This record gives sequence, structure tokens and C-alpha cells, in this order.
Amino acid sequence: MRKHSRGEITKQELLSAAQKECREIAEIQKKAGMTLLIEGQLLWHDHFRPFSETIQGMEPGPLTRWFDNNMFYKKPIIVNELVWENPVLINYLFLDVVRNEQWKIILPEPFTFASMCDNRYYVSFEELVLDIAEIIARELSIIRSNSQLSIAQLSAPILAQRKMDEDSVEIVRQGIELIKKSFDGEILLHTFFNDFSNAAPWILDSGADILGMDLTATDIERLAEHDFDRPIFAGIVDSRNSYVEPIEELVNTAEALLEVLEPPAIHIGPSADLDFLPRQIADKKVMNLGIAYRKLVST
Amino acid sequence: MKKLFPTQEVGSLLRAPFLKKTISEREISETEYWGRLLCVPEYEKLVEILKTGKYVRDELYEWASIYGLRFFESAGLDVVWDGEQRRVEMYEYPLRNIEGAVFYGKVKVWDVETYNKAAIVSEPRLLNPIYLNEFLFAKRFASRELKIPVTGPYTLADWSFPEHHYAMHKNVKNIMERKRLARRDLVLDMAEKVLRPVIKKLSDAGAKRIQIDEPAATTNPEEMQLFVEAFNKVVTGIDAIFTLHICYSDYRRLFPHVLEMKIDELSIECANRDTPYKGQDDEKRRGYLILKIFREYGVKFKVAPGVIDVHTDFIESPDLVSDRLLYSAKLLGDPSLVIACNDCGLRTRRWEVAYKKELSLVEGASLARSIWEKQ
Repeated sequence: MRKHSRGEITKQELLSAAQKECREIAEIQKKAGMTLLIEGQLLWHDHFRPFSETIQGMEPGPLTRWFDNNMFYKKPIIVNELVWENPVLINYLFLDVVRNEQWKIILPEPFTFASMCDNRYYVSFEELVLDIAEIIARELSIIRSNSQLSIAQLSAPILAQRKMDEDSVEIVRQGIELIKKSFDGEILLHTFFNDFSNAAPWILDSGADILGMDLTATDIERLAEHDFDRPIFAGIVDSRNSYVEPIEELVNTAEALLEVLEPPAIHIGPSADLDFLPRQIADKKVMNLGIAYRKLVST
Repeated sequence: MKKLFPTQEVGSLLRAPFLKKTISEREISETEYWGRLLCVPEYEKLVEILKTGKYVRDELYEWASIYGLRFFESAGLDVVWDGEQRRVEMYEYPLRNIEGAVFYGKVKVWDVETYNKAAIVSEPRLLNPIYLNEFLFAKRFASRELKIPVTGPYTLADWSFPEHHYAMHKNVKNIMERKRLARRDLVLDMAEKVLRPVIKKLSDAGAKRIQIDEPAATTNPEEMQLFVEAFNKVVTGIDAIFTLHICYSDYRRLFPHVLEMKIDELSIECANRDTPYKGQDDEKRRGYLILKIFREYGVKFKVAPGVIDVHTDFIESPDLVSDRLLYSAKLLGDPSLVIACNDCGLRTRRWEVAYKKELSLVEGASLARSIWEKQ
């Protein structure tokens, strides 16, 4: 991508290289025994860029820190009413890489998306959230009809950053509800970087099918009082630490979670995106995760 | 009365054309072009050795340092550096000189920009007096006041994996607490065992102005006190003008902590979040509104709000630069507190773009000066 940005290779050459890389990423996941793949989303500069580069009414703005990381995104600027005209994400994904696989896509949750924008148009924040939800719903519907997309992971660190008021919670719910009207896969609401307990208990009733928590930032003992009636996605692999968790440690963490929260099912994975790690570390972590998964299943 | 709106650069510049891995006629021609334009003394000698191919790499770095200095001097800046020509980048360069740092590979920062991230696998210890030789060399050739940029302890720690320190706290069961303790220990080790000796050596060698780069400063709001503590440990008792540079951050988080810091100047990025339109109202100058907080807290140090965006090829006009400076002076309530500066280092811009930007910076500051003095 750097070569392309400097004009040293053509767009076609970039796409070809990125597609090859996505295939490799898929192969590593298969080798590790992941039951649900990700495509890699390598053509996305940040979580919002496909939208801010394409959707009418939105444009990429200044470089802004992505939570507490040495990573930055271009803050979307809302300059007009958001208008969806044509499919967006399909042009940013290599669907052939995951065509015959069960896979999940990672998209920003609408309330989080709206919170990370510089809104210069909408008087009502709620309207902005719902317009974003509408766009995400359309996109998910198109992708699902073109692949075996099983889960849409909605990234929502904002929801667990601090306690939210009831009005905000209601807006989050409406956004998820709107997406579910046109997307019949499962919605995973993932609250990484932050303590999940900040979003409890309301998040249990948010409409999400799977609740995602970052166990590198969450004290599960504080969640013991809640009744988890739906599956949990547990981020047990620290995506921001080079320490490669031993398999036993991963198994123990998952078992402790099952024991304390007693959810009907758990999914296990990294706490957040793996691009915070050098590739060799990320690969090792994915491999250990696969082994830990098989151990958990066998017991 | 001291000169209003003095001009400074922030640090880096794209490496000189002759530092590329392969040198063809194109690089030689560019070397000649810039040598002539920047009035680099005896640049013809460099062109000649490039043509013969008989040179050693260190020799080229020395030439690059001179080109970098002349780049800023000829553009007319008051305070200059050599564009960090010898440095691979602001993080990897110092860490290559620290025992205990092991590089694991590239990680993304934004878009296509990455850095080579290291783990600190043993107690960090300074192997070489980082920055000293480049300072001594620059001192010989600079004709303007020098400001040497140095990466600060908090950023070096925040951008690294604290493996050694994490292992030291293996008995701490709570993972969040273990991480917190590891980070704290690493930050303070970087301050006391790495940065403090470096700064002391630079000061002893005659460095009068030192810029400590801490782009990670506000990353973790709960660690602001730690950031301040580490910074003060580095600079306390050292006789120099200290500039703190922070960029692409939420500057609200600096307050009130920054008031306890032993700094003379604070350089921040503002043009990145501003509009390109001329004018001195809140809407057009939205990137500078943060300065209102500075005034509310009655800051005593000088402020260098970036008036040049280093991530676009858009060339700010002198009028725009002037508007940004005058508006900053208005918000701070005192023009003598304002320094004209770039948002950050210019490493991502081509030289022709960077040079035009620096010419605009100088001309815009001059324009602002004359407008303010007529008021």
C-alpha cells in the first residue's frame, strides 16, 4: 500500500498483492483451526474509511488517535445528510477469499461510529446514528447475499468506556434493531479496550445476539451478578501485548469465564484487531488460540 | 522587544536524495539542484563523489545533515535542526542504542505508515550516547540557533512491549494491575536510565535548546501524572530551553498536569484539524480553539500551535499562516507567547513540497508580525 501511495505500483498491482495477503491470512486461520474466518480487511485504512470515502454527506477528516493506541484514523466529518447510493464494502473486500467459508465481518457499531465523527450537519445525534445504522444494514444485507457471512461484529468500545445514560442506551438499541431488520445473521456487539462491566446490565438487553468482552480489560468477577442468557465472545488473547499466552492460560481463562458467568455458549478470540501486533506475534497467538479451542471442545 | 512569532521547525525531513539505497543520475541531479538552491557550501564535491561512486555511507550522512540544516536556514527559519537525516525514525533510532530492546516487526500507525515495534526484554540501558555526535556535527555547521529533538521516555515506553517489566510482576494476578505496574516501571526506567543521561550529555556538549517529543503523552489519561513525573525526572536541573512536542492528541487531557512540567515551550499540532480558509473567526480557525483552555489555565510557557499541516501537499499561503498566528495570539491574549511552527516533522513530504511550506511559514510569520505591530 505504501508503494501504491507513492505511485510505485498500479491500483491493479496493489489489489493483486492485497488479495494474496488476504488469502495467506485465511490460510493461517484455517491451519490454526478457526471455525469462523475473517477476510483481513486489508484495504481498509481504518474502520470508517470505506464509508467516509464513499458515502455522500461524509468525508475523511483529520488524523485522530484511535482510543489509547499509537494508531490513528481519519475522523469522518459529517457535512450533509448521509445518502447511500451504491454498495460500498463489496469494493473493499475480497469475497472470493471467504466465499466458501463461514466468516465474520468487523464493522463499527452505529453509536460508536457517530461518536467518532465530527458532526457538522445533524441536529439530532439519534438521527445520525440511525442513518449510519441504515447504511450498515444495507451493506450487511448485500454482503450476506454474496457470501456465507455468519456474524457481523459491531465494534463498540465507546459503549463500555463509561456508564451511559438511558437515552444513549436507547439509541444504541434502536441502531442494532434497525440492522437486524435486514440482516439475518448474528450480531456480535464487541466492547474492546474497556471494562465490559461499564456497559452492564443494559447491554445484556441490547438486542445483540452475542456479547463481546475484552478480558484484558474486564474483571469478570464484577459481572458475576448478571444473568447471561446469550453467548459471549471472550477476547482472551491480548491483541496489544507481545506476551504470547500459553495454551493452558487461555484454556483456564475461558473455563473461569464459563464457571463465573455461565453463558449458554462462548466464542473465543483476540481482544481486538490484531494489527496492533507485528505479524509474527499475531500468527503465534492465533495458533495458540486454535489449540486452546480444541482443548476446550474436547473437555 | 523580542521578535514576535519566531519560526521553528519540529524535527524530521524526508531523507536527502543521495541517501537512497541506489543512486542514479536522477538522485545526482536532485543533489545538484538542492545544493545550488540551498547554497550548500561545496556541494559540487558531493556531486562529484556521487558520480564516481567512491564514498562511504557515513560521509553521506554528514552531507545530509548539512543539506538538512541549509534547508531550514535558507527558508529563513530562526531555529533549525538537520531534519533528523541520520535517524531511521524517532522511535527505532534511539531504541537501536538501548540494551534490552528487541525489534519484533512492523505495526500500523495510520494508513500506510508503520513503525518497527520493539519489546523491552531486559532492564533498559544506554549503549551509546544517542544524539550526541549528530549534535556536535550540526553545531559545527549551523549558522542559526539549533534545537535538537529527542524522543521522550513516555513515548519510548508506550510504543514498546514491556516484556521484562511485565515478567517482573508475574505474581500480580489481576492482568490490568500487572499491565499498569509494568508500564509504570518501564516509563521511569526510560526516564532515569536512558533519557536523563542523554540529555545531560547534550547539555554538557553545549545544547541550549532541546525538544522532547512525546506524541504518546495523552494516550492514557490515567497516566498523565506518570508522564509528568518522568518528564521532570529527565530535565530537572539541566540548563537548557526545553520544548515539549505533542501531536495528534487530545490536548484537553494535558490540563492541569502540564502546569507542573518544567517546560519553556509546548509545540502542538493544530493545522491538521483546521480549515484551509482565510479568516480569524472560530469557524475558520476551528483547529486553534483548544488554545482557549491554555488561556483559562493561564499558561506561562510559550506555545507553538502548528500552522503548517505536514500530512498534505496543500501549500498554506502566507495569508493563511498569518491568520492562524494572529488568531492564536488573540486566543492566548499575548503574541509573545506564540511561536510559528509546523504541526510535526516533515518526513512524509517531498522536499519541493516541504520547502514551499517552510517558505510560507516564514513569510506568514513575517506578515503576522507586521500586522500585529501596526495594530
